[in-house]
Amino acid sequence: MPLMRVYGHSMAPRLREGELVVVRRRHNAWQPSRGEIVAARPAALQGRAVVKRVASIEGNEYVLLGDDPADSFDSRQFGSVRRDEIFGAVCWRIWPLHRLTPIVAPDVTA
Amino acid sequence: MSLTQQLTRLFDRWLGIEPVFAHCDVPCGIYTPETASLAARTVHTMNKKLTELPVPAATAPARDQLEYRNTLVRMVQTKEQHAQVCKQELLILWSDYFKPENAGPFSDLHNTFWKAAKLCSYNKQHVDGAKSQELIDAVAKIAEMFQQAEAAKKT
Repeated sequence: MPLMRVYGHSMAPRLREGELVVVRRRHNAWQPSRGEIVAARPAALQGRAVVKRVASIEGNEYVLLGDDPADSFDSRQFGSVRRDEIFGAVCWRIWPLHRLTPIVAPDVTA
Repeated sequence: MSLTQQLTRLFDRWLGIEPVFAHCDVPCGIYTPETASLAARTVHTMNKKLTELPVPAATAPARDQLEYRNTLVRMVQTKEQHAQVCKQELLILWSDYFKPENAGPFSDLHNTFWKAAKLCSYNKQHVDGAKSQELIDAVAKIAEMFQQAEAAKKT
């Protein structure tokens, strides 16, 4: 499970710049759920990894958005991403220690 | 970049911690078409200078031949650098500044940017005054869209 450093503010206040997160790589059959925070490498960004929230799902297409739309470069610009471009789910924030917590998808259907 | 940020990056590289981005390319929200416009005009100027650069006769002294080649290379290098700067600046405006909320009134926005980016690439590869003028016009059109979008924000 790789550690990744968050750069930027589009996922604030859930994830803040400089925080260290654990990204759990998932098997091919895994289906990210709506509301889940995921790490992806959209083909349009040539290898750059982004952290975003799954806003909607249509078949194999996932719309990823930042929590702060005013400061986010997301599916509104690079389009929806395929399942195989999403490489894992953010499951823990481990730094800073006082914000150590598991990252659980909110119940967006509630 | 501050010392803390540099140390963090070194530490991350050492431990194999990968960056994951949650922002746009210009998180401070500063956008301007001026840089692209200036770069496009530089490309056009270099094309004119390259076209008008006197070619020394085959019998000219070696020093004149060398000076000519040196000037030629410098002009080509400047042209290519500024075409790349122009492309980069346009891509930032295209991907970061324009969003569904402010791109609505511009039905040909994507086509305009796409063509302008292609013109940047063409101008890197060729010395063609007509094409560099086309690039200036394309950037001016984008600058106009930008100004309209900015004006709409204030209303």
